[in-house]
Amino acid sequence: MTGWHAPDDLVTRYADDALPEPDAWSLEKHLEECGSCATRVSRAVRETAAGAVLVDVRTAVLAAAPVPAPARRVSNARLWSPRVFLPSSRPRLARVLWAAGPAVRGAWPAAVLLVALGAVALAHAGGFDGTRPLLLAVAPVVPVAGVALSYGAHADPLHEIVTATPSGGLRLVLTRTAAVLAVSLPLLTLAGLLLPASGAPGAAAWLLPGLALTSASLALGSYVGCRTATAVIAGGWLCAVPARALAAHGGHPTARLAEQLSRCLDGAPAQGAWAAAATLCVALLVARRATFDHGEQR
Amino acid sequence: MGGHREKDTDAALLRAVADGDSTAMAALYDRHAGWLHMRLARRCGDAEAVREVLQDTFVTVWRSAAAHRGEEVGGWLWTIAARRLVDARRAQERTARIETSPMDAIRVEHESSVAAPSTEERVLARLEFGDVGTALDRISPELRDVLRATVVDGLTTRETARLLGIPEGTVKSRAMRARAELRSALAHLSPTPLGGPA
Amino acid sequence: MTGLRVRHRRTTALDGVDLAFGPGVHGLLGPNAAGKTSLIRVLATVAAPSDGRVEILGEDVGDHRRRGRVRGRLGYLPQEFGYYPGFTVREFVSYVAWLKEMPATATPAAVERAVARVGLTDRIDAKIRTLSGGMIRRVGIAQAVVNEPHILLFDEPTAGLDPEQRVEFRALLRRLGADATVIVSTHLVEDVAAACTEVTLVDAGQIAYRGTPGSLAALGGSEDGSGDSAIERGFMAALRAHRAPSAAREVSP
Repeated sequence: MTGWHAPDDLVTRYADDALPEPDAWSLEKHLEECGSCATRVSRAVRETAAGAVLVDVRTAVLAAAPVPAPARRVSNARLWSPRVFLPSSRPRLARVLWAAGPAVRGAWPAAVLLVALGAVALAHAGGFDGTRPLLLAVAPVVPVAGVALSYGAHADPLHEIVTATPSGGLRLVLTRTAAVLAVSLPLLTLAGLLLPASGAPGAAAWLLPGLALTSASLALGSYVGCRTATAVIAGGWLCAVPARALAAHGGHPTARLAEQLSRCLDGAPAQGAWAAAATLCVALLVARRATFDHGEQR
Repeated sequence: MGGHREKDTDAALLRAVADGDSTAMAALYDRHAGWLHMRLARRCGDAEAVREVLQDTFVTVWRSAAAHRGEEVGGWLWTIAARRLVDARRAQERTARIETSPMDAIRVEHESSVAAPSTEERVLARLEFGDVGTALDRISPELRDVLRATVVDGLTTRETARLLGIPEGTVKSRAMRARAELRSALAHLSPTPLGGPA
Repeated sequence: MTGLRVRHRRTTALDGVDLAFGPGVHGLLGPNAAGKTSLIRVLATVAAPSDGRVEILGEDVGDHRRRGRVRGRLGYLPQEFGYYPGFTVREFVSYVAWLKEMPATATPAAVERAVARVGLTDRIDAKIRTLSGGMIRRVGIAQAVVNEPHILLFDEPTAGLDPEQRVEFRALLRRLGADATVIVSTHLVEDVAAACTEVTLVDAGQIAYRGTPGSLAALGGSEDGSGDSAIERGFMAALRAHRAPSAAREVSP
């Protein structure tokens, strides 16, 4: 600073936008380093038509005050060197979890675990020998329930946003279904192997029916929405196999269930039929892939 | 208005702003926003753009006050504002381009999009307010723009090119011509009466 | 879009709407249940119109493959913004970036930029459930802008914001409108007055008025004393003008 200050008429004329360029330039350079002249010019400008704008912007600027937080200086540093951001912890694991969607993060995996462990505990600690038929009767419904909890307006709070993204359609349905299957297939099959056979089909016999029911749920879901579809398919299985076995007469209930399951699951023709059904449903699903592009109404 | 904080130095205010102090920001704003607004308005005819650049400038100050390294705060603020103005210009030009290409926006039959006058036209219009009689008024307006952007506003060649919407080579050649013409114009004039420390 | 018709459980939400939007901030203004949300959902490609054609960024979104291309350049904040409460802001915005198929290497920087734009850098590693309602809305805006979209759709974004946050949000809208086509639905006249370059008035599934906020305010005339702003009076005048002829048509078939 040189001790020189802008005379009042210069300040007024600048604020009124009536100062010729060279004089204005000279004053502008001075304002860069003289706080008291800056204050005077700013005051003069506030009294012109620009005053209203200045008040508005002031409100907005003060509203943009950062929230005080102890980490702020760190985050400032990061802002100014955008290349040096903290690497997101466990990116790969995070990605897997993202792909899995809501079901695998929620109560569903706990329920699967409970079914598997419960069956094993019942068989070995409780000495109940009809657990394998029970498990096999319930197992095909487990991935279907997982699908119900994975996709659609009712299951995913993010559904509306997800639908508007390029991966929001069938692709996401399939990734999430794959996650559900990846959890349920090995877990339930393993549990089945640990159980006494007691006349029921092999522990892996439910795999193809499970796949078929899951793909049928998705294919039906393309018409009526995932929630209704999964309810219909799961309900259909439960009515057709365990409920019918339990309602029939003669013999021990678990024996009847084992017998009914053998009819549905054992042998090449039965398994072949399930495989064909699964293939058919997948084909239908692919043909109707575009329907998953649009969101479900809540 | 600064009020009781009038005697606070700008640097002290900035330190407080870095700690999230709203009163300090208010004082800083009252001290500098007015002249910054006028300085921006003299360089850009679009009032809305000026308002946004001003707001962006001070919002940036919230974040970057801690990065201030002791230079004059007024000059430091102007540097931020000038860069923002250049950015805003660039964004506007991009929008203008999008408007003309039907592939790049929801398809439109525009009723109300009147083509905005070019940056240069606007700047030239502003320049006509100056009265004749000084050395700078003797040189052509486009040369003055280049001078103002590079010498007064401290912009780089590239930034000047963006602000004025002309190629960098043109900026360089105009700056050279401007210096030459200014020298010869000054030779015919008595020095300007204003003795600022510029 | 041309001849747009949207049905919503047997009621017609939009009827024969023809509209076109260019860059800038467009306000969709209208009373509640006027069809604004239906319009936004169609533009977001979330809902399919039962009739008519929608073209976005030069692509007909009725086509499956083209729809995918458009979606990568879209940003959408629905009215009821759902989120995973256990996610941090960073995880959440990164997740949406992943859904939008952004390259993995560009994602971390883009996420930080988007979060900085809404002023939440300080809270980027906070769990969403610990944030206030206004901050959660801002997270919603961050997820919408993370892919630097060409089209941004906001459905009632100022709902639940306090007046100060609203001012801030409108400033953000104006900045976004410099680069992109921003379409904002709102029932608040002052949102439109403060942030929009163009206003479209929707009433009972039809377009009642199109113009600038200035021209809408001019409709309001200069009658004083009602205490409302000129643009509010213009809004009421345009609504009355739109409803009057249709009422007359119903009376005389």
